[in-house]
Amino acid sequence: MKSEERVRDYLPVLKPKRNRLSREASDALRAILGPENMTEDPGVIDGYHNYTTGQVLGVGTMIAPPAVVLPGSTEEVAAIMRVLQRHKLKCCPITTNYGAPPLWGGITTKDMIYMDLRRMNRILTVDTKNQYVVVEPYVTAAQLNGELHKVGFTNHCTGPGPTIAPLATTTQGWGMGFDSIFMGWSGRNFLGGEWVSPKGEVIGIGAPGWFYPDSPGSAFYGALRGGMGPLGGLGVFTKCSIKIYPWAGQGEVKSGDQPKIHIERYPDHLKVYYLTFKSMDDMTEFMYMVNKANIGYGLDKNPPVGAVFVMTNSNDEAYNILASGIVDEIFGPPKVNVALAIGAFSDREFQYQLKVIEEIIALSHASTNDELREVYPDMAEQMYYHLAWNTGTAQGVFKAAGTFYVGISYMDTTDVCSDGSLLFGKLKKEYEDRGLLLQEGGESNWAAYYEGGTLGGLHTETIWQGDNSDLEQILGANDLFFKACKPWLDRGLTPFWGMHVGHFGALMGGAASTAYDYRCRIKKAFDPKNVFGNILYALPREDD
Amino acid sequence: MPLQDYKLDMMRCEKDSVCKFVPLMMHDTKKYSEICPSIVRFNFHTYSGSGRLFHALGFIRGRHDYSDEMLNMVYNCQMCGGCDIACKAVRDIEVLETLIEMRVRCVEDGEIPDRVAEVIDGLKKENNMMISPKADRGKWADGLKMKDLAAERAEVCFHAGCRFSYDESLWPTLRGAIEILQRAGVDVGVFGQAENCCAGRAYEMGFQGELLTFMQSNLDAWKTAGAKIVVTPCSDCYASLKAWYSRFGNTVQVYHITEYVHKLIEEGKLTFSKTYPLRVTYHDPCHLGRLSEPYEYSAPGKPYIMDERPLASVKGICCVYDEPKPWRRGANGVYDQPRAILRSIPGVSLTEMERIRSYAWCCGAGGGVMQSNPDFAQSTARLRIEEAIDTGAEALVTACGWCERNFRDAMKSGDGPNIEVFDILDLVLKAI
Repeated sequence: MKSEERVRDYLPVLKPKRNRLSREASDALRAILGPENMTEDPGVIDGYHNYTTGQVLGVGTMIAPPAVVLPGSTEEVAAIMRVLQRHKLKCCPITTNYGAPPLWGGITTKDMIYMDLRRMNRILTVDTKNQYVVVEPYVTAAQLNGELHKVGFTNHCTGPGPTIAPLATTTQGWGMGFDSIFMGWSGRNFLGGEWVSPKGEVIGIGAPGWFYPDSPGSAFYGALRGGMGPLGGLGVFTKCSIKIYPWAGQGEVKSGDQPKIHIERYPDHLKVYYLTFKSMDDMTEFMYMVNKANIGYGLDKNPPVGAVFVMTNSNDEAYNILASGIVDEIFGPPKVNVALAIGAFSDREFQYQLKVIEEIIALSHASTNDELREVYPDMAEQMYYHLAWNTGTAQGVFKAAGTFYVGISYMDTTDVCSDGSLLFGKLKKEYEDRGLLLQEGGESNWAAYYEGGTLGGLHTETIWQGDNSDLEQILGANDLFFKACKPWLDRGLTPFWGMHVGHFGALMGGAASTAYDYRCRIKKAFDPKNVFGNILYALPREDD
Repeated sequence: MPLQDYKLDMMRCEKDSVCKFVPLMMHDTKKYSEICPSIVRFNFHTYSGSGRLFHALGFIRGRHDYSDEMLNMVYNCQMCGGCDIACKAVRDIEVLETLIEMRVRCVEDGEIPDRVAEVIDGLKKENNMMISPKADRGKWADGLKMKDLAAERAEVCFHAGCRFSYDESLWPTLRGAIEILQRAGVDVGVFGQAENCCAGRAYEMGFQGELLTFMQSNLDAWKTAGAKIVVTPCSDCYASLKAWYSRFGNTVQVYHITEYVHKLIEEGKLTFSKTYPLRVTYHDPCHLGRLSEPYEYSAPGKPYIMDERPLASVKGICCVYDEPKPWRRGANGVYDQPRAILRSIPGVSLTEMERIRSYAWCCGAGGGVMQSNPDFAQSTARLRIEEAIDTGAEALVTACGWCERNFRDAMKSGDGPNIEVFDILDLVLKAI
């Protein structure tokens, strides 16, 4: 894409196109929701209008929706869908707002309204015997964990952190989670749900008790959920049954005030390490050994600069540590760093895990970073929160520069991902040197294992940080994204995003497999009028 | 600092909804996981800290203009600072500053809800936020023997504040406070009818000019009276003197009455002789807690760094300031002294709510909401009363007249949750 075109893409953000609902559509929606649960006020609507990753990729523009609606029940969602069909309007359902508008969670056409699912926020069932919960869309992972930890369980949380909505990630998304090594990925934990189709039909998925014995594939569940998730591009899930896992953090005691909530007592059976490897090869070997040992409660391979922001309470504090050079010396390139948690459910199991992991650490020549603990004594505490409560992402990837961009990402063997990390680090350096991105001085991959590495190996995401108020930086990040795709395409490999971003699917060609084609067909079958016009998912095509 | 100067803060919000909840690793029950009364009541994202940042960005960029619905949104916020504290656990963003500046801008543009305008007219005419005659301000002290600072000098000025001065049900607390101070031999006086509003609440409603005017007037009065220390029972006044006055460059030696009483107990000047058996829970007033944290300066004599264009660092783009910016994150509020007082009263046992200290739930009265939308103020209070009842406590204790009044008002109808409410001084007085 030419630079001028990208500039044009950016400029409408400043003056978004506005559209108004017809009187009939407005009255019909208001009759369903009541006046307090719908707004067409431009000022109130502007509160939904943020600036993030999407602009980097140069897709779509930020358009103000003509209305925001707040349904309070499945029946209201269904009724809204029928009104939207009747008035040829589109819908973008959102929960706690994580996302990268306009890629997902964003308005892409001027006839699209926001459906904010905040009023649907109940935990309906906690069944510890059968290890599942049933939740509504706006329940957050932190809320669920708060309730679950008391009864000895926890739930999978994707990388963005505990304010994500488990229903949304389970039914709609992908993304790494630092607990994925133990708890799988989002779609894997989906047991059933209640789905409102674009036509307003309410369809239950799963047997009574919310168990659905299918997996992603040819069945209805597989069609709706898919591997990557429809990202809000196909109907609305209003209830979801999710698998839960044993909580290894029982016994922890915390106190204090923001931003340092101190751990007075660590759990008996959960321990976090921050490991530094001398080379990417050593780290790769470590990953394979962890995989083989089937061990680990949390795992996060992170770039050192990102880790420093996770472990500090302000940019100034992080800056001082980084500026001192100590961090570069201790775990800068070519060294590679991994945070690992082990968790067990009995003394004996924990002792076994300790023996195993310490042997693996020794075999892979890793440092446990005792020096860093001296530089920053809270390190262990912050890393514990990062892996046990998933709280570190906002600090690690948003705080330093203002925003973050997710670029080339892979889900492949650990070797391939490790190569990709190094390659991207080299490509990125030019942009860092030009002052367009936060200088991380090496590769900038965050990575996590799914299910002990048994599901497709390592998931890595290159996350780089910049200032989203600076158009030059956005354009620089955009250039880097496309430049970084090429080496992978040349090797016949699939840059992760190519698999599910509509127009990138075309760019990737055969490397994106036929997944996009299948999604277009599913989209046409269930949403032929493209009521859920998310550009990231798929478009109904006439010739399908 | 003008609203547009917070543009980068507005743009840096990643819409992660952290501002809506108590610290993420401190979640216990879902019921008490939220920290923002406004989003809980109105649900649109725009009513959250994050939504308000985006709204302000749209406004300064001319994407929308004033409307009744927009003004309702702007003023239906207690300015309790919960969003600010929650966000700053993970980000370097000035949420509350931006919210206040949005109101300042509304005032500059003459766009003010009628009820707010009425209260501020009262302030301008009668020097108080209660729309009551200036002449009645000192009535609470009728019959008390103490120095009149309008004519005499004293080391300690007891600043009663508007709420306490005009709310007759709170007068016993005020008079008790004077009794405690006098018994401890403190050289204390009051301005009585001549006392002025601190104007902190007016500032939170967007009236920066009124804050500056009243601040100067108060500083002059205290100086003339020779008062080195100001003691107040009102948390609003305390935050105003400690935080807002320091925001504009003035340091006041101010104690909240709980700090002073705690000091007297520590020094052995106040002892308890009676037992008062009561199981209580303590509500941290926002203005005594997170909002009272003073502004700090990067170096002596240098102005507080509100926000500046970040400079490039050795790590390239990183939001740091040319001098380290002292962040207000709420940890330095008054949390321990009230609890220590309660624990020292014979017979009183303290049981905590889930949302306490820097992440306490607001009583609902702040930011002008009690005046402009009492229904919203009271629904917020009812949620706190429920939380207090859930602890098994027999009474809800607080240290702010506004909180106490709002809790009582919320229970007036009698059909909601109900619990006995005390000011912490009331319990002290029962035991001495």
